[in-house]
Amino acid sequence: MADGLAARDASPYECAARAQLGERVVAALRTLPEAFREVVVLREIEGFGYEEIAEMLGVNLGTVKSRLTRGRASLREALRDDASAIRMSNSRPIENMQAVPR
Amino acid sequence: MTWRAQKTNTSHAARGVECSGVRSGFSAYLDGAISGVEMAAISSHLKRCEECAADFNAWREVQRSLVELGPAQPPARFQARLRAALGVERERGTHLPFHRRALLLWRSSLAPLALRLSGGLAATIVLAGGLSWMFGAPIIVQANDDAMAHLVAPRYLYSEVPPDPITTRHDVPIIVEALVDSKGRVYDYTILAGPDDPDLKVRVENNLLGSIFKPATVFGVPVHGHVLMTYTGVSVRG
Repeated sequence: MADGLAARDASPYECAARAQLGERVVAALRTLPEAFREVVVLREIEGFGYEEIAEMLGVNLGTVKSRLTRGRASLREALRDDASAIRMSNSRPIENMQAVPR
Repeated sequence: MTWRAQKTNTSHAARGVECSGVRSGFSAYLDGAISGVEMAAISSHLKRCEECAADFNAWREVQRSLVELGPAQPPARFQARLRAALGVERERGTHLPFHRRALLLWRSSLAPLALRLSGGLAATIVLAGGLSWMFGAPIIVQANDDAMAHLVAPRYLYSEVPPDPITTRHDVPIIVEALVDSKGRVYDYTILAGPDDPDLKVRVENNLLGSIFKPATVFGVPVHGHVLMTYTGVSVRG
């Protein structure tokens, strides 16, 4: 579905860039500690509410909130470190990469 | 971070404190998990503060890129395999409490064999028991079982008077049945065989009257009894 939509209104370049960004996000997710990753995935990708996540993982609501905050912050840090590493090796693609999500 | 560099300015320092408070609420703000007042405060701060707005944009980019990943696709035939696995577990009764599961196991495996097993077991017990009795504890056959009743016949002990020899004209044995009381005395007698001779009868009577017997006993208690006596070698009067 997402692929279909992307193919319809995005140029081949944007499609490729989006796929590359996806790979980067997955790689960044893998660097997160398990406790943060599961909360981030359940909230952002699977779309569950705080209460549902708390019930699934058997933790309280406050823990879910704090893990989500710290998980998102670490993910952002991981993506930024990744981006700066790419920028150092090659400046052009990373400018494009940054342009893609906006 | 430029807001850190601006800490020298007091108004900027106060703003830095506000910024850190707003930034700590970004996660909840993204999910709409805070009150309307807090959301309005963050929103108005983001309009005023470019630094925070840029930071929040970065948070939103991360969220957007995660959403674009989309949920992981389940593997092919996942639903069919899940149903099959659930069916297998249901068959095994995993969802049942322990005693119901044990009952199910009993019914499916051992119950059909139970009758045969118990029959075989009973036959084995009977056979093994019989054999062990035969070989392990042989019956000792005893010939003196009559002693159990402990019946003892009267026995002749001695004569109170000097025995008077019985003489007769016929050389035949005399058989007398004497009845002995519990004190060992003869209280009646019958001549079963012998010559019919009144003189002989007197002599036999005198002989019996002087005879002392050990009375018959039953379990050691003296009782009346009878004894057969034979007089042989009777001297024959010429």
